[in-house]
Amino acid sequence: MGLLEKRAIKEFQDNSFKKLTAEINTLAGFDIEFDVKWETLAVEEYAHLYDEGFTKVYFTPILNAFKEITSDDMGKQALKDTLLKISIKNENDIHYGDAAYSYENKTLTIDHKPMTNIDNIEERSTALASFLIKKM
Amino acid sequence: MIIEALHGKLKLVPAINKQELLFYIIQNFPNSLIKINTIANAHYCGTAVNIGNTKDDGYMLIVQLTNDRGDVNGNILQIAVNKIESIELLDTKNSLAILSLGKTLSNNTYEASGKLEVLRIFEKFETEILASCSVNVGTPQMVLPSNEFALGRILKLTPLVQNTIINLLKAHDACESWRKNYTAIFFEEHETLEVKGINGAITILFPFSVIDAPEIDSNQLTTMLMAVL
Repeated sequence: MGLLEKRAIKEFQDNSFKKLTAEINTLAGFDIEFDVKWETLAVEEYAHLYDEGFTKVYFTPILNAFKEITSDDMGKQALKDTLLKISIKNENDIHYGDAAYSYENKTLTIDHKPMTNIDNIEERSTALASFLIKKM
Repeated sequence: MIIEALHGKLKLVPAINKQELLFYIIQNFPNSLIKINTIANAHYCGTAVNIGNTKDDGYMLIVQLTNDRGDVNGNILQIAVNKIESIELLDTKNSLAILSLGKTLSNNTYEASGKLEVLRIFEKFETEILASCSVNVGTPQMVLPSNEFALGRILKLTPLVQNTIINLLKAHDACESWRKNYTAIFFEEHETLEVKGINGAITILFPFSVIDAPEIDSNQLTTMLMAVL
């Protein structure tokens, strides 16, 4: 990771990441642990797109899925019973939401390329909501 | 995936002879299309209507013939069962139920589901019936299984039960009786379909979680519900 990437990651961590995770936790009604493998997300030559890519690929779909899940009390409770941690990484060259999500030991893992299909937010949101609801 | 599941289940069906198979089809799936292939290499499509034993020719089968698309053409086939070389089941959705003689097998395949989806469809069950019939039957209460495919089956069966109840409650007397006598509804795991009406609650007993069991028969459920109203 070069200096440009390090700065962009730090910028995201200090600003958007804090806001987005706070928003997610508010929706969930409890604090979720986030484990982000930043070094796998720091794709070279795309530092200028980190903020948009990370937000749209990983976090907006979580927010959208959580909105759907927590639309009633049953959903809120189910989310609380099901999820403790969200792990975000880019390790297996995954481009689509259908293959990006896995769940084990109350941990949701999102493995998706951060700069690919950035605007497929709806597809990822639907896939994530459907995936999580089936685990609840 | 469906073909693989069917293949796996077919390994479990018992061996039965042609008479047994035809008897079962006539009694339980009279509208199922079959194709009769004779020893003389003739082929007939239709629905089996009757089978009987004769002194001279053994078992005789009567078939209402149809064209390839299943439309009745008015012709009738009468044939000795011992002249039949093979029977093809053209109605694939009931083939497993037929071949297993209705024991526990069906062609059902269910998507994996979670408890949240089931609980939500239970709530919808109550609101839809209330909206359609102005009867608050309550939210179904059930001990949910943990198997995700069993949950998928419950997810599929619940609207079937809901629609059966909505159709039943279109009758004014059924509505009145339900309002007067019942305020709660339970789904309970059981080997066969039964309905009980006790202490202000209707309990529908059924193999809700058995993914290989046949699905709920709406007519049978209606009859049983009427018996407790």
